[in-house]
Amino acid sequence: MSASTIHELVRRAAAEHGDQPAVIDGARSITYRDLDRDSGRLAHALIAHGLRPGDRLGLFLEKSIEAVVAIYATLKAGATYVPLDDQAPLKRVAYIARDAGIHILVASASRVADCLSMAADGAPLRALFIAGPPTFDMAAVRAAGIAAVPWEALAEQPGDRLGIEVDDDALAYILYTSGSTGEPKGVMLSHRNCLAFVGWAAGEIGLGVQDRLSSHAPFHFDLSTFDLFAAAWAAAPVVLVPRSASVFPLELVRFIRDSGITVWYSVPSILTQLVLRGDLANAGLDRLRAVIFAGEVFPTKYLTGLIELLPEARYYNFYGPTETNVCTWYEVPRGKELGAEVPIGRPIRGVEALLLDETGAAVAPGEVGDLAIRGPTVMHGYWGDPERTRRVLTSGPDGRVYRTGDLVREGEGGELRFLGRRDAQIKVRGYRVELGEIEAALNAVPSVVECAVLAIPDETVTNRLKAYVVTTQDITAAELITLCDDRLPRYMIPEEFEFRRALPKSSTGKIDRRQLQAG
Amino acid sequence: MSETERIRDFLIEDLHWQGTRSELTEDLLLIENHVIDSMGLLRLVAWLEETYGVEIGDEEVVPANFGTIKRIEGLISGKGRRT
Repeated sequence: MSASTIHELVRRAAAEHGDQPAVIDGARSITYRDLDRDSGRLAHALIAHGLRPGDRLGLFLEKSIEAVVAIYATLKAGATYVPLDDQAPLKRVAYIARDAGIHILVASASRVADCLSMAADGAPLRALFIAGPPTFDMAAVRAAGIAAVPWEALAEQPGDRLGIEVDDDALAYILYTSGSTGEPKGVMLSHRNCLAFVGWAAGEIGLGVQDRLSSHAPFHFDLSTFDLFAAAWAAAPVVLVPRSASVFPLELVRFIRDSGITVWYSVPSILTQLVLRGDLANAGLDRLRAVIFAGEVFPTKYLTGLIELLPEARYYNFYGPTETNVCTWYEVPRGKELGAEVPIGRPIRGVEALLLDETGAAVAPGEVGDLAIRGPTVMHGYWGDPERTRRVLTSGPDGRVYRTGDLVREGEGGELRFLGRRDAQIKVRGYRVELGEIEAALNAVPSVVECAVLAIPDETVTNRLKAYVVTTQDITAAELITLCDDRLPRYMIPEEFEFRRALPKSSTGKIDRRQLQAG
Repeated sequence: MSETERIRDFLIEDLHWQGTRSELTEDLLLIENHVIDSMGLLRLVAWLEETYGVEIGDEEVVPANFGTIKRIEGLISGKGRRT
């Protein structure tokens, strides 16, 4: 049975496996029946506070049962959820809230003061729904002209179904990623975009009610859509990985074992840490049957090490920028020597991969091409930015085509191989980073004359960031960071700074990155 | 400079913790308060090994040794006494 909206998955799971846990969050959990009921109640309350189909709702809270309830409530109301990185600088979060025109936020009590300063910074907030105990200053919120709704109020809401029909082309979520011009950009994805991937993945991995899925990625990262929605597809529980486990490799291994996770999904750098420091040989991870990785290249030596340590599991490489969802995949063959790099594989069901040259024509077999993706997983565009959308997305009779900017080649076996980027976009621990966004933040510091940020390849984290800076006055790296860290999330702050009197230039007067890279 | 101060400096200057120095008390929970993330932990371990000339085994990289500045300081001074 196929669903046409994401929230139908929860209704279906509630009807067929109501007692099954839906989300496990430490010692707390919620069943599919209660998740369906609570998200319905919250949807009623959101609508009562003015949430209309097509509106954007911001999530500004730690990953939790409440955050999942809020996601399904938003979808049931026909609205679009926008997960805000609760670790990002407030200025960046406020930019996103303004850009997306967010009127209603679901926030944790500890972030209420931050919500008020976002409102003061131009975010058009009208109502705050507060997850957790009401330990905040209710009067201050009301004084700002914003309605505050404590979580307890939801119990008074009607439990009946809403009469809202949600089209499968309606936007389900907007995920903001790094933008080269200095501001993040919002990738718009519909119910259909999501379900085309999730339905395929649930079938391919063979998910069932006996599975337990991990939730390692934060909700503003697109890996989370598999964790949440493939679990709901299968009426299986999703287990939220606590912070302390995600930091300490030994804790993480213990957590995977003790929580009985059967399907793991994360960026490769986390798995590399488990290989290096997780004592996997003695881990007892017998229940782990599928390990899926995505977001960056998994160095073959660590993947081989992982397979040797956990030989019973199956391994899958998922590929796809946020704009296309996962669009190609590769199952790592057993008992076979791996090549220099793991292929990104073949398109998933319903998706076509086109390898194009600069003119947009198909390249000859075996030639390097720009990867373009056509199919039901391709985004609707960038929020509020038709200009940028037009540059990467073309619409034709056969559907939308997105040009990824990734250079790939088709190998002899028909498998696609990722070779690199056409532009200055790089990955750091699976996060997409536009070097231009970091440079824009550094250039905004008054004493910076010019700068260039380079990615230094590093096997365990994919890339380390190094900044070359010319300034008008003596300034330390720490001072410089303090002046721009309100614009950059931590993973975008360069690890190393080198101060120079000038930067090398090419004949056209541009900063010569190659010469910098060469040292 | 005391060891506690040196560790605090590292957390602020190298791991770019964005809170204030006074918030970063000896007992502040470093993981829960997002002072240390997974990559920050690796850099901290490498820095401690280099700065104090000690070896930190994988089995020692646990919250009991890295949960707070006080515990990190305890780990290092414990190693100092043994050598």
